[in-house]
Amino acid sequence: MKTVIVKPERCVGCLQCRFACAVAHSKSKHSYTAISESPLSKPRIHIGLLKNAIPFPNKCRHCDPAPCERACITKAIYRDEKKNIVLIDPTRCINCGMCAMACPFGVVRYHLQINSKIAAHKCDQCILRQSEGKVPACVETCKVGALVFGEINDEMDKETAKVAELVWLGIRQKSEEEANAFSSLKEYKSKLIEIAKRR
Amino acid sequence: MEEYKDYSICKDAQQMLKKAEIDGVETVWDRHAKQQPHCGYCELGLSCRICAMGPCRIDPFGEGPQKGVCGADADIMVARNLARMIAAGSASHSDHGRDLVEVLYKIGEGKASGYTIKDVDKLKSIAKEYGINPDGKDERTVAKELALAIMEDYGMKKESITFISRAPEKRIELWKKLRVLPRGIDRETSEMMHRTHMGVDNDYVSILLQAVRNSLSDGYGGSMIGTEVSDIIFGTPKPSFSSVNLGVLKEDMVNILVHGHNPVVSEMVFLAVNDPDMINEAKKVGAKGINLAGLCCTGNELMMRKQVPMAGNHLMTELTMVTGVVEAIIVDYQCIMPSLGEVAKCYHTKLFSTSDKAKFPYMEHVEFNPENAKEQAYKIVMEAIQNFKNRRGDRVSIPVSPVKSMTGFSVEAIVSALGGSLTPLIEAIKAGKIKGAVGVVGCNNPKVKQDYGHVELIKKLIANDILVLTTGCVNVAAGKAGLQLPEAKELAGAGLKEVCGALGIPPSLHVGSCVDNSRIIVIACALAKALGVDVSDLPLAGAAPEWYSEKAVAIGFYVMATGIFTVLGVMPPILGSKNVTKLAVSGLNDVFGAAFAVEPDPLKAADLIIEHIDKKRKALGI
Amino acid sequence: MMRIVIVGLSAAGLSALETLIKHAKDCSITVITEERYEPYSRCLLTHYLGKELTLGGLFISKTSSYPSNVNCIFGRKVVSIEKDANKIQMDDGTHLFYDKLLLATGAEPVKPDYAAKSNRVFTLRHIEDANKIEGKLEDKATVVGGGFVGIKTAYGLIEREVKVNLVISSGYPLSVILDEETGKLIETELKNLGISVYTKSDVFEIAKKPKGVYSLLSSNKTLESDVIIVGKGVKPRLELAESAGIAIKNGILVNEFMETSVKNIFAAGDCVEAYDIARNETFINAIWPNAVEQGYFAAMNMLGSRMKYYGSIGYNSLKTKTFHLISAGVLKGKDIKTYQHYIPSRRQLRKIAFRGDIPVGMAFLNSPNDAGVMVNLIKRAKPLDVKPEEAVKGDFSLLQNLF
Repeated sequence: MKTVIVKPERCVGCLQCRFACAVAHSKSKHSYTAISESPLSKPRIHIGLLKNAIPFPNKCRHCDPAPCERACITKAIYRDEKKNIVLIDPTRCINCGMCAMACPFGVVRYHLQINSKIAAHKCDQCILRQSEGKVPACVETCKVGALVFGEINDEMDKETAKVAELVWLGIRQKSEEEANAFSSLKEYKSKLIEIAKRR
Repeated sequence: MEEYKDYSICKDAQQMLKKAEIDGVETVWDRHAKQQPHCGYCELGLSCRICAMGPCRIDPFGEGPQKGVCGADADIMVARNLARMIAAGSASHSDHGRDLVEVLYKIGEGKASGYTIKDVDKLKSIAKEYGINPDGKDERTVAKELALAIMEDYGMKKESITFISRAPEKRIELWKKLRVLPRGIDRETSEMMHRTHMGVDNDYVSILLQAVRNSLSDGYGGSMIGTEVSDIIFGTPKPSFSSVNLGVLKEDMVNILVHGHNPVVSEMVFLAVNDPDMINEAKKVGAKGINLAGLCCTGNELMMRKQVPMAGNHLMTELTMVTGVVEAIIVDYQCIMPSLGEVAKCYHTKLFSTSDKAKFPYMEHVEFNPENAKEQAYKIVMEAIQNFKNRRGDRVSIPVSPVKSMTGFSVEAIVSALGGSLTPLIEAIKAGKIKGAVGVVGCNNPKVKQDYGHVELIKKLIANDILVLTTGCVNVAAGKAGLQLPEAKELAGAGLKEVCGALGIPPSLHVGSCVDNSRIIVIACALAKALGVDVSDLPLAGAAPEWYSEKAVAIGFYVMATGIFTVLGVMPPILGSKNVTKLAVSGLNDVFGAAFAVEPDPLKAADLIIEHIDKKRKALGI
Repeated sequence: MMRIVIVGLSAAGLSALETLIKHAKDCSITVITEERYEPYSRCLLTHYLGKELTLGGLFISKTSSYPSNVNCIFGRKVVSIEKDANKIQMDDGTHLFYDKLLLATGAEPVKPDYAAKSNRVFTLRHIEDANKIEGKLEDKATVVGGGFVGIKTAYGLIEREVKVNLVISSGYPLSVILDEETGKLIETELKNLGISVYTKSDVFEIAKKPKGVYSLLSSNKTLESDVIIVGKGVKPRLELAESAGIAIKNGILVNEFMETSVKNIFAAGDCVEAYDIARNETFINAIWPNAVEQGYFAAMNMLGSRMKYYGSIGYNSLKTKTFHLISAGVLKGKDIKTYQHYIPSRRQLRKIAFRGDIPVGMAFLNSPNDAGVMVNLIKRAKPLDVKPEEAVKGDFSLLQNLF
C-alpha cells in the first residue's frame, strides 16, 4: 500500500507543502480562490523546527494501531482498512482534545471544518485525490524530494541499495549530503545559534 | 533575563525585551522566530520571481527542476537576485544624495530657509573637482552651479562620474579595462534592472560585473555625494564627544527621536529643538527641556556634526518606545521598520513620516521639502512637546545610564588629528605600530546576537594593533562597549595604544553614517595615492558582521571593487550557485585584487583579517 | 475452537472485542454486560447532560454488525467464577465455559453517606444516571469533586445555562494531579466561565427542601440546588475477582501480559491496577484511553501473542470554550522537580516535571499542538535529549527528542 514517506534531511523549509495541502482541502481547490474562502482551509502537514532551526516535516503517519483512534471517546476516529488511512469524522467529533494528547507526533489540530463544525483535524492522506488517481498534494508540490509517495518497502530497498553501493566502494562515512549547498547553509545556521549562546 | 542574552549583548536591549514581553509588544525578534524555518530556496538564492512564467525554484539536491522556466540555471538565478539587491541598495543611496543636491540647488536659489552653507572651503574644493571655478562667485552661485554639475553625474551625459578620479590611477585603469567605470548614477541602476529582466543578461559574470559598476556608481556616486554635500551644508565633522544607548533618553524632558537617513530632515529638527522659544514651550508642559536623540544613520549624522546622542541602532528602534518616555519619532527613509506604528500604539509615542517616498502605517505624514523643511520641523516638535502630557507614569523605564563616546572623525578631522597630513599614519603603518586599518561597518540582524559580532571583532582587531573605523550601526555597538573613547586604548595592542595615546584618539574611530563609508574609501584611496600603490596592495580590510540591508550588499561590492578584502558575518543568498560562490570568495581576487569571506564567528573573522593584513604588509615589504 | 468470554462491554471490553473480531475469526466470543444499552461512551455523559449530544450520539458500536462468532448478552450479571472448572455463573443460574476469560468489570463511583438521604443526590456513570438527573434538574446544580469528572460535569451544565456550584475539598481543582500554581490558574478559568467554585469545602450535611436540596458545607456555607452530582472518584468492581481468589490490591493486579494471578484469566480497564510509568509503582489510572489500550493488549495476549504492556499513566484533556488543559503523569511528590514557562499575554503555561533526568509529568495550558509528543515522551520514560528549560520554552519542537 502506497504511503507518504518523509525524508526530513531534504526539507528546505519552504512550506509549500502546507500551502498545497490547504488548497487541496479547500472548497474550490484552487489557490487563487482558496485563500478567500470562509472558513479558510488549514494545512494538515506541519513543519516543526528542530534544534539549530532545521525544518522537519511532520504529518500523520496513519499508525496501526492508532493512538488517536484508541483515545477517541466518540469513535469519531476510524481506520479505512482498504486504503490504510486513519480518518476523522467531524460530525462525531466533540472537540474534547483527547486525540491531540494521545498522538505521539503532535499532528492533530482543531479547526472549523468546511460544511461542519470545529473538530479534530489531521492529514487524510489526500484520500479524495487518491480516488482520482492523483498523488497527495504535498508530495506533488515538493520539489526537493522530501515527500515521496511510494511503497515503504520499495523505498527502503532503494536506501539499502544506496548503502550497499557505498559499502562496496569502501566509503563508509560518506554522506549524500557532502558537497551540498544546503548542508553548508545548515552548518552556517547552527554556527550562528552556537554563537548566540556564548556569554 | 537569561534567554534575552541570546538575542543581544546590550543590557538596555535585554531589559527592554523583557518589558516588551510584559507589555505585550511584538518585536523584530518575535517576528524573526515566527518566520522560522526560512525558505531554503530563497536563502540559497535559488528562487526567482522576476517574470510571470514562474515563480521558479531550483532543487539544490539535484533531482527536482534544475532550471527556471526561461532556462536560467543556478548561476544566472543567483547572480540576478544578487544584482537586484545591489540595484536597490545603490538606488537608496543615490536618492539620499539626490535629496541633498536638491537642497544645495535650492540654497543656490535662495529658497531653502533653514539651510545654509556651513563649510565654504569644502564647497569650493568640491566645486573645483567638478570643474567649476569658485573664485569671484558668491556662495549661492557656486552652490547652484555645483548642484547642477552633480546632477549630471546622475544621468547619461558623462563617460564616468566625477569622484572616480579620487581612486588611484592603477585602480581606474583596472575599472576601465573591466568596463566597470560607472557612467551615471541612475543610469547604472537602470541598466542593472534592465539586464536582470528575463532574457537580457544571462551570463553570471557579466551580470555581476554590471553589479560592480552599479555599486561603484553608489560608492563614488550617490554615497560620496551624500557625504560631501552634507558636509558642505551642515558642516564637516570635527572630533567631539557624545553618548550612546537608551540612557540618553531623559525622564524629565520631552524626548524626540530622529530615525532614517537624511540630515536634510534631522538637521531641521535639531534647529527646532534648540530654539529657546520651543524649549520654553516644553517647560510650559512640565518638562525640563527638549532632549533630541538619534537612531540609525540620521542619528549618526547628527552625532558626527552636532554631538546629538544616539539612543540605539537598527534592532533597538522598536525598543526605544518601550521605555515609555518617547514623545515622538520623526522618520524619513530607509531602515525604518513598518512595525513601529504597532509598537507606538502601546505607548503614547507619536510617529511622523516626512518623505513623500516613505509612508508608514499609523504615522502622521508631515511632508518636508527644501522650502518648508524648517517650518515643518517646528510644527512636529510642537506636537511632540504637547504629547509630553500623555506620558503614562506606570509605563516608564529607562534601563541604563548613557555611555560616553567620541565622534566626528571625518577624513578632514583624521588628517587634522594627525597634524595636517596622512604622513604620520603612513609612518605608523610602515613602522608596524599600526598594522593596518579595518572599516567595521553595517547593520544589525536578528540572525546574529545583537552587537556581538561588531564588538568582539573590534576588540580582537585593536588588540592586534589594527586601527578600526566604524560607520552606521557599528558606531552604536562600539560606543556602548566603550571602545570609542581615548581610554579604550588600554584594550589595544602596544603599538596602537601608543599612537592613540599620542594623538588623543580612540582605537576605534567613528567615521559617520553608512553613506560615510565613502569617507573610508577616500582615506583608502588617499593612502594608496600617497604610497604610489593600488588600494589592493594596502593592509586594509572591511567587515560587515551583522548586515541585513540591500544597501550593505552594494557597499560590500564597492569596497571590494576598490580593492579591499571584506568579511561578512551574515551569509548572502549565493550558496545555491557554486560558481558565484567561488567567484565571490576567490575569483574576485584575481580580477579586483580583493574578494569576500563569510565568517559568522567574529573571533575567526578577526583571524582572517589579521592574516590578510600580515600578507599585505609582507608584500609591501613592511 | 477457543472459547473467549468477556465480562463487561465498556471501553476495555469493547476494545478487546474489536481486537478479537479483527484477529480471532476462528474463536467463539461471548460478551456479558449488566448494561441494557448498546455499547456507549460514558465519557460523553457530561456532554449528554450538557445537551450537546442526544441519546443516539452516545452509542459507539452496533452489535448488529458483529460477525456470527460473537454473542452479546445484555442485562446479565456474572456472579461467580469457578476457576478450576473454567466456568462462570450468571445471575440467572446459567453458566458458561471459557478457555480465556477477560474481566473488564470497570469501576463504580464513590457514593458519599448522605447520598442515601435524598433522591436528588447522583453520581454520573451510567445512562440511567443522566436520565434521572435530567428528571430533577431545573436551573441550579451543585457538583461535588474537583477532579476531571466534576469539572467536566460542571462545564457541561454551565453551557446549558444551569447555575453551578463546584465544591472541592482540597485547596484547588485537580489537586491529585496538578501542583498548586497550575491548579489555581484552572480555578480562575472555571470562575471566569461562571462556575461558583468553593475550595477547601466538603458537603457536611444535606437537607431536603421542596423541589430541591440544601447542601451544608464544612465551611458553614449553605448551597441550594435541584440536584447534587458527586464526582469523587471511582472504586474498581472487585467482587468477582475476589470471589475467585484473584490477587488484588486497590484493583486487580496484572502482569505485563494483562494476566491475573489465575491462569487463563485476564483483566483490563478501570478495575485493573497496572504499572504506572510515571509513579514507578502500580496504580489505577481509570481513564478511557487506558482502558481501550489495556483491552487491546489483553485481547492480543489472550490469543497468545505475548505482547508486553508497558504500563499506563494518568492523562486527560480538559477543553472548554476558553481554555485547554492537557496534563499527564505526576507533577508533584518527593524528588520531583518542575520546570515551567509562562507567557501571560498568551495565557499559555507549559510545565514539565522530572524525577532526576526522566520526565514524569506535564501540564500544558493553552499549548496543545505538541502536548501529545510530551505525553508520549513520559510514557517512553527515557531522559530527554534537550535541556528541561528548552523543552518548556518550545523554541524548537519536542520531536527533537525522537532523533
